[in-house]
Amino acid sequence: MRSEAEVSQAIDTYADMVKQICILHLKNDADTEDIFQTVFLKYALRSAAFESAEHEKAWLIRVTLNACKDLLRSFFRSHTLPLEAAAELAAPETPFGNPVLEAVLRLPEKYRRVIYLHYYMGYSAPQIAQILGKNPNTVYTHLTRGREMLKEILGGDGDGT
Amino acid sequence: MEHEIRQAFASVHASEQLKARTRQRLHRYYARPAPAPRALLGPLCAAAACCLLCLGLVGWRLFFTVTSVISIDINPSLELSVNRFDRIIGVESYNPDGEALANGLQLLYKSYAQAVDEVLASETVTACLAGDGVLSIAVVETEPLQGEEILNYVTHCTASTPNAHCHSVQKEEADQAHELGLSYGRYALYIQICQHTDSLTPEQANQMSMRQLRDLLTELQQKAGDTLSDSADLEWEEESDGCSGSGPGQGSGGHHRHGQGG
Repeated sequence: MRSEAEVSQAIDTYADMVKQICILHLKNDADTEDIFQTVFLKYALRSAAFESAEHEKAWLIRVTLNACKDLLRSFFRSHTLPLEAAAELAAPETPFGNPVLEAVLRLPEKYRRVIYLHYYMGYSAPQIAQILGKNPNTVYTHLTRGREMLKEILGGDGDGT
Repeated sequence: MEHEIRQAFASVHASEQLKARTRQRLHRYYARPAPAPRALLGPLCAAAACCLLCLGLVGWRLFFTVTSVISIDINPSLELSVNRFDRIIGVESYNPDGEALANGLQLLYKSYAQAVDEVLASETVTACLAGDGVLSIAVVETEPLQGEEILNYVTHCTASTPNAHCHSVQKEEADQAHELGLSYGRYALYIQICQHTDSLTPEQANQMSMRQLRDLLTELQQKAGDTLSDSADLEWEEESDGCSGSGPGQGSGGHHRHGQGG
């Protein structure tokens, strides 16, 4: 188990990244906070050392993605609707105030993830494939398809990569 | 687009309140008394249950495994099975008198010393002894140390009893006796009689008292011109030479006691 100081340091370093991955999947603050805390609790409980900072970062990404997926798959989540989401349904808005972010969040989940990991985190397709446990070709396909959809949503103003 | 996406996500930050609440929760987690890991509770309980079950089975097996048998023959023929804890775990009678004696006494789960005392003090046995009956106590030993201990005890108990014979025997010999439906003390005389006549069946031997069997043997031996070393007691070790190895074994013993190979 890691020391409280170590975990506090990790929160300072990776809090934004964990929050962003939560936002990609969950879209509400209550679930985000729950997953946020769960991820750092798992980090605290992990006793094995990380080989490098990159390894630590990739581990946190994977744990956060899995925690989000688990929550989305849970029975309670799939059969109930939080009040916030109900309010969103009643009056859809752009809670982040950023059209590009909103556009990314409108993409299917599989495209959202690769777009975030590639364009924001700077991972290559093979690296993303390793983190997500997928075939690199699948990642390439998702990247291409996600980019196309994003262009469509944003009005074809992308510059490509 | 890459730049716009980067800017879009860069605008998402974890608030200081969120970080603070997370630190508080972790602090509470670190401060709590360490409970037994929940994930381990199930397997631990299962393992404990298995251990208890195994212990129970082993204990049951240890308790109910016969380690020695005390065969008491006078007219009632009775065998007391003793476990490693010196307790009687089985009482078997080999004739109606033995059955009546066993039914009249509560011997199960008593110590062998208490059980032997009760049998020897019973009216049936004391009456037989008073009527010049011959008492034979054979200790069938599976555990040599315990067998020796029991033999010492029964020898001591019958030291002042005339016509009492105590000896130890090996389990293999006792098995042969049981195959014929005889207790060991009776079997020992039966096979000696069989050396002189084949007209006596095990069933008939079972119905005769030890005194009758002994008298019959003496008569047959006298007829055959055998010389008895002791007119009052039969020295079985001398007579067992012609029993094809199935009779009582050879060994040294005192007036009442006949050992099995030391």
